[in-house]
Amino acid sequence: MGEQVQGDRIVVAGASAGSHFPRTQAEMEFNWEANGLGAAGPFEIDGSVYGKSLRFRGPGTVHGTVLGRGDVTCETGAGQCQRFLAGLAASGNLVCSEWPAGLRDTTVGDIRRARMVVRGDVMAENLALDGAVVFGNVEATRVRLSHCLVLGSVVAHESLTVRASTLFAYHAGTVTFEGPCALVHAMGESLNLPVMAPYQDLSGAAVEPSVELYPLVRGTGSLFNRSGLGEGVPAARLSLDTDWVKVTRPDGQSAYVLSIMGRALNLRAYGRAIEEIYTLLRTALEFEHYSPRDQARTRERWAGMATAEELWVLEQSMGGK
Amino acid sequence: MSQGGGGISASEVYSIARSVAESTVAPVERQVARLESEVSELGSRVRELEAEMGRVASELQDMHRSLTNGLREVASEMGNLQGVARQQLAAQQEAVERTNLVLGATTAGFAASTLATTGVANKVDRGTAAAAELEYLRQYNDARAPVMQVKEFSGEIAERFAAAVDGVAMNRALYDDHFTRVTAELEQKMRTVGEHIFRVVEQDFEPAVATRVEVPRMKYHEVALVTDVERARTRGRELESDLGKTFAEVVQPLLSMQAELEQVLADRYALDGAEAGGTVAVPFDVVISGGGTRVACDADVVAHAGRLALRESQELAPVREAITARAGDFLGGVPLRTLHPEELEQVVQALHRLAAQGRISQELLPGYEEALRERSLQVLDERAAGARD
Repeated sequence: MGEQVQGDRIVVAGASAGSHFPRTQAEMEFNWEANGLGAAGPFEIDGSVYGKSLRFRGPGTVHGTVLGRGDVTCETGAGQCQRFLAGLAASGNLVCSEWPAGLRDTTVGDIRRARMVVRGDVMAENLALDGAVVFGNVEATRVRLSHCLVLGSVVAHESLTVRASTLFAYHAGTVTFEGPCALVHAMGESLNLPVMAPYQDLSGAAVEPSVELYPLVRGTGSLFNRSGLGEGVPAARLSLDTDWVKVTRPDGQSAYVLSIMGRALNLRAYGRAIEEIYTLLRTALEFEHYSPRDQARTRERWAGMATAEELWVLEQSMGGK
Repeated sequence: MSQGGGGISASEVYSIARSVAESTVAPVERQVARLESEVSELGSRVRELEAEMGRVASELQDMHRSLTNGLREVASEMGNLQGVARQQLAAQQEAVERTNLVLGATTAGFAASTLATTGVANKVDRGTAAAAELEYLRQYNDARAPVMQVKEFSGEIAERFAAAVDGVAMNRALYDDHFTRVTAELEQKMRTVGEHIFRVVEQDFEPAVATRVEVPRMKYHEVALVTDVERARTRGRELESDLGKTFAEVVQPLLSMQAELEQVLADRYALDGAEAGGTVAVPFDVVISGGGTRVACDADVVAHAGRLALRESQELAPVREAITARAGDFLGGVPLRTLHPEELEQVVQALHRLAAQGRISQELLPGYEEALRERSLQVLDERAAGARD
């Protein structure tokens, strides 16, 4: 099933070869929708998508770039996953529907519950992701990440809210960590001292805020900070008092920078973990270009290097389902 | 000239005529010579000038030859004139012979002839020079004409080239103007035709993606990286400082105390001439107390790899025997016995306590213990002594 025009809407369901661009001036004003909830099953779009306002419903995959000149909305339910394998961008807002679940039932409890996988950068004016695994950078004026794993930098020109999420590094005007969060790199910068706020899930239970450094728990812990599930690693916890320092930037403005150099003496283990993570990601993103023999070798290498969660993440980077 | 009443003789007239003729011909000949010289000089100048143009030089040589011939003809003409003059003189001589009056007229005629001859010579001179100049100019002009023609062509070509350049510049400006207009019109039409595409690129793609992607991600983390590096450097300096302070305040005093202790020990206990791994003699005291009598002597200690090994020393055998004898004398033949195992254990324990208290070296303790166990230390047999008493 291909494209159907319904009033001022264009609806795509099922498999669709090629890209979806407006073909007439009038279509520029049409809203565009991919529906993976119908009888045709998950949407499968081989090309790119461009439209005024884009809406993705239910499970499905877009192999090309997605660019919305208005808002982009992603709606998925439990057990459904949307995959954007070449990035996601919106001139306006990019919003994922909120996850009505307790902390244990989100990606924090099991990363395989991820509802969105994006390979490439995610960019918008205002951006709210929930349950997403992103292999790339995230950039917007205002960013809100809930239960997300961002294997890249998060840049928020005004504000960044990190809720029970893990990211590589951040750069923000203001930053708030809600609940259990984690960083892969001890690297971040914001104009304010990060605000640590408790996380409250649907059950009403509040979880104390904390930020863990993932390389310190790698091998024994999760990609997510599970202190809210009683599996936190206090030794890997970053401290507002010692790990965020106030500095003066070259433009004369004050900023708070995350740096563990004040109390870390031996960075060898940390560096080794970072190096392994980068090796895993690099080989995963290059994987499809390897020969079958090298692919087999790479998988063997992964098995000796990656954790179970990381292996699942690597499979997702290759568009695994 | 004599104008006496007797009149002038014919010889006088002849000499006068001859002198006049000589005075007339000589200048002419000199003039001819001078002309020849000048012509020759002119010829050389012409040759120099026309070194580049051989043809002109040959022409000038021809001209020189023709001039020489002309001058020779003039000289010949002058010779003819001289003959005429001689005839006139003869006629005048006849006339003189007839009448003195005619002489004046003849003289006047001769003078007129002389003047005429001079005029002719001057005219020939001027004519020759003018002819030479004219010929030179003609040859020069003939030779220069192609050069002038080439120059004219060159000038004309330069003018035409400048005009062509001006034309090209004008055409280029015109072309640029047209091209700009065509390009602008093309762009305008392209934008009109693909308005929605430009709208997508300029209004959606560029602000949403392009401008953001242009900024390298690491630029956002420069401050954090610089802070890390700076903090690590500061921390390194602080640790270096702390380490130095700890060494100075804690380690250094301990090292000084250690050195002092070693010095004291060396002063008090060191054996002169002893070497590591060598053999030293350790004197033993003989202790006699009320609770028992222990005699121990005759032991040399070999320090070897931190352990002590006791062995018989032949050198100390006489000493041992002497001390044993004296002890025997002192003890009055009290029998000796070896230590019981429990007694030996007590001695070993005592050695351990002494080592723990630092009285004896922990290092030497295994050697002491080994010596005790192997050497079967003998003590007085108190029971035997009591029975004897």
